[in-house]
Amino acid sequence: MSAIQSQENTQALPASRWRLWIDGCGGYLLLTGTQWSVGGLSQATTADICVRADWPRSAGSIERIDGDYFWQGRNSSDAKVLLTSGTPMPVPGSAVMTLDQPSQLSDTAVLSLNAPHRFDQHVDGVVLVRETVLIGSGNECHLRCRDASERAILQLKENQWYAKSGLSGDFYRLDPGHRLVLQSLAMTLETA
Amino acid sequence: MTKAAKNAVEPKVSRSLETSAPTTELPGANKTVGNSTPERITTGQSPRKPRLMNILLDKLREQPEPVQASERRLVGVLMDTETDNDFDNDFDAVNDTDKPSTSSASQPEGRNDDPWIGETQIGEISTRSMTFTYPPGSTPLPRYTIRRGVGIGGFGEVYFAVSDVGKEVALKRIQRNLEIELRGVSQCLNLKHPNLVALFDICRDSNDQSWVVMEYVAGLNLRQILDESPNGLPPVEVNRWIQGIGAGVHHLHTAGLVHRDLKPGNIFDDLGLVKVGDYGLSKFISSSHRGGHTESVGTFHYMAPEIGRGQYGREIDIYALGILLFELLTGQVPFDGESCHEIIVKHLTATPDLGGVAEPYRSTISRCLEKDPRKRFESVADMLASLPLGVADAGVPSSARQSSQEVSCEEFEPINAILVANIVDPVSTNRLGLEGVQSPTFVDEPVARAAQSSWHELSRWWSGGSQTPESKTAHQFEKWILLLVAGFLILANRFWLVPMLTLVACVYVPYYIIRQMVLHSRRQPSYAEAQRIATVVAPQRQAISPSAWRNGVRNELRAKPTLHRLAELNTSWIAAMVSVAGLTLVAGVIGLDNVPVFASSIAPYAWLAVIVLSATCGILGLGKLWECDEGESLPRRLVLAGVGAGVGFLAYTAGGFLMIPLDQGLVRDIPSSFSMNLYSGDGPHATAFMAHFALLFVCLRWWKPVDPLRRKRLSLWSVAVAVAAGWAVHQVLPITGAIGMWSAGGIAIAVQLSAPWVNSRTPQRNLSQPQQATGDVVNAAQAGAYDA
Repeated sequence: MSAIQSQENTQALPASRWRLWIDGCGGYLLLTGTQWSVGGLSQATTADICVRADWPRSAGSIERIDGDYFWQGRNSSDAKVLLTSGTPMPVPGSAVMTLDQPSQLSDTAVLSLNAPHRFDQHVDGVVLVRETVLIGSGNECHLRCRDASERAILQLKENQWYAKSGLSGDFYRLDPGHRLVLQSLAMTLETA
Repeated sequence: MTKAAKNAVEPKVSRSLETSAPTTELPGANKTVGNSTPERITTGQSPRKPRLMNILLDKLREQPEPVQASERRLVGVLMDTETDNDFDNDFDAVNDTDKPSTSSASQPEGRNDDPWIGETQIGEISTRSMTFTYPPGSTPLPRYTIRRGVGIGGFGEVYFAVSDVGKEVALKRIQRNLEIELRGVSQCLNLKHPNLVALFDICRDSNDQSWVVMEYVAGLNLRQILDESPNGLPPVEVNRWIQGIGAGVHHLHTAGLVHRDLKPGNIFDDLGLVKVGDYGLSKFISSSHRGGHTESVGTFHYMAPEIGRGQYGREIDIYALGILLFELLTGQVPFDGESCHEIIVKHLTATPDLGGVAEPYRSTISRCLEKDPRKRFESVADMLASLPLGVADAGVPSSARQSSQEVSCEEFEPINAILVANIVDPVSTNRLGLEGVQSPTFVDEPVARAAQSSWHELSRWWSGGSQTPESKTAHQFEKWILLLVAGFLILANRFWLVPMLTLVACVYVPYYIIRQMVLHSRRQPSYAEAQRIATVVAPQRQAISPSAWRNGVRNELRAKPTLHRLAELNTSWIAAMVSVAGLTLVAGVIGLDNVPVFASSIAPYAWLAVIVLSATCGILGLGKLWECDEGESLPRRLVLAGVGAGVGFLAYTAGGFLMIPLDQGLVRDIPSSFSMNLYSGDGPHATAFMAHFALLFVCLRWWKPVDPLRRKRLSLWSVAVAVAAGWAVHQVLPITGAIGMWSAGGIAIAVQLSAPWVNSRTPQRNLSQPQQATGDVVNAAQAGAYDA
């Protein structure tokens, strides 16, 4: 077990938030940390992941333990449920949210909602980041940009985002508020 | 032609306008569109009365090379006189990528003397990276903040933006063909239909650029969906799509508009609703406009043949709908080719191969794709009527339909039906726990209520509950007298009594049944009653299969926090110490019977205990680490080999410390040639012990006896196998006193006694629940382990 995993298991890290806008692809909420609260959108919502749906303000939380994701209902007596990729979360309500881990090489997961529901902050998906995020047209990519001709890799190091195009090459710093163009991918990061 | 080539031919139009948006410049990055392959527009003068198809073919003949996949798209523009100059300027801006970048608004609106101006303009535009003018956060329009670029269409860029109050919209920046686009959009501004992308407004920014504010469509377009389903969509989805598209196009037609650019890239799945977009190219149908004095931007795969003759009636939309229907069913377009020239010729002359399409879709497509527009369906409604679409549900989100279908498929009895069944069937009543509840309809029926009341009183009298013991004999006598009198009266009057009762039954039974039905159809169960019934009749939990049980428990084991896991391991180690002590005690009692007890006679047992305990602790640790999944055998065996080597070294060291004669008890004489590194005249070296235990640990799957999901708490078979393996290893690599064989048996017993065990026969408990107190943690850690 790595030191990072041990650290994550013993203490839930606070979530940091960014929004990533990719032209021609979508908008995504990037969340770091190991535990994220989930709830429906309302004026008093303080959840990390807000869904515009008939969910309670505090529906539960998602926790990452050793690369696995678990759903914990809002009651502490609720059993912790392992979230397998593509399986809907057991949240009562009309919205159906699924967690996907498309890449075997990364523990990063992507939350998506079935139609007609949407996340708050006008994003198309929520990314639970574990170090790296893969962007491209393939099914193994976390952020699927169907028209992208190549892949890009986002990496978080010391609370600073870096990106590079393809598997080789150099990383470029992705500063909030500045657009970064990597081949066919143009992306802009902003703090959420 | 491949799918990629088709995509390339179809939807992509690049742009060339760049502004000074803040962009991080990277070496090699495609910073601007102009850095990529330059666009090339082939132009030519043509007669004032255009013949688009002929000109297209002429231009294609000048360019005999086939269309390159993902590189080219043909845009044919046929325009009337008054729009020449607009197109001139706009397309100049589009194609001259070497010029300094400007915005379309900064282009002069006046005349342009470029020689390529003509009624027909054919452009081959490379598909390149989408680099949008405005980055996220820009506010070109005062009330809207751009979030990201969505796409680049034939007339400009489209952005996803959010208004100050949170309304999500799409902003279309009109860069090219300004007048045409604005005219088309303004005509469509007041169209309202659920299957059309709504247009909200047209605004101008501070640079006098025009923006169309329209509905934001969050879902994929049909092109993207078809790309993921190369063999076509399921029939249900085909019906949903074609009905939604048809409804939207039909609404356009009834408003006097023709879409003229129907293609998968212009059709969207807006969170379950089919939406037809990009109808800004639509043109009012009128006698003056059905001729050639209009403009057209089409995609060859969906372009009706009469467009070459300058006819732009609603028939071209029906033709495109036929192409779309074929593509929805098969994933392919009916007219495909290696070049645009080939596609156009096929549209003009070829008969589509509909052999793979079932009826009635085949007939519908065949009629839609008639070369003569007059032979096609007269309206979209006629076309849709020829399809087995069923109830119009184009406006219903697919998710909602799916939910309703799922609900309808539920095999639960309706609550009302259950109530009726309860009244008729006392068995089911008892099952529901409703035996104490009288049927309200039965009680409310006057005749039945009177009869029931009388029968109840008679029963009470018959049972004699109110009688005193003294009058009990008299009461028995009265009962028998009454019974005899009643029997006599019935027998004496049976000739008229039976027909009368039959008549009453014939009247009353139908009355009673009808009354029951009417009242039950009106009556709804109370919330509490319904909840109780639902609880009682809830489907019983199905017995899960062993594999499903293992998966479920394994998942719960994965959910176990690390602290919880460490507590379990600690407890297992303590249990291992106790187990080894007990085993050693038993072995000592048996082995030291009739033997004088000295230090030298006790030492081998202590030595064995040390070996067993160290090995047990190591295996328990690894087992705790590996309990989350089934794991792979080879890596685990390699790790176990390392642990075995460590145990062997410890055994050698402990043997020396306890002054065990290491050269005794070898199974055979060790030849000198066997290995000088392992053995010598003094007996086995430390390496021999390490190799012995490493081999012992490799040859057995030691993680199985410590797996919480093992079948039995203590399997004697596992112990026997371990002893046999120890004996076999001892034959190959003998060590002192066959200690390896005895150790193997002891380890097999100790690890099974110490490791947690989840009994599959007992009700499953949640193994991942954190406990509140330390003591509870230990107890919970062993909850699954020691509940045998």
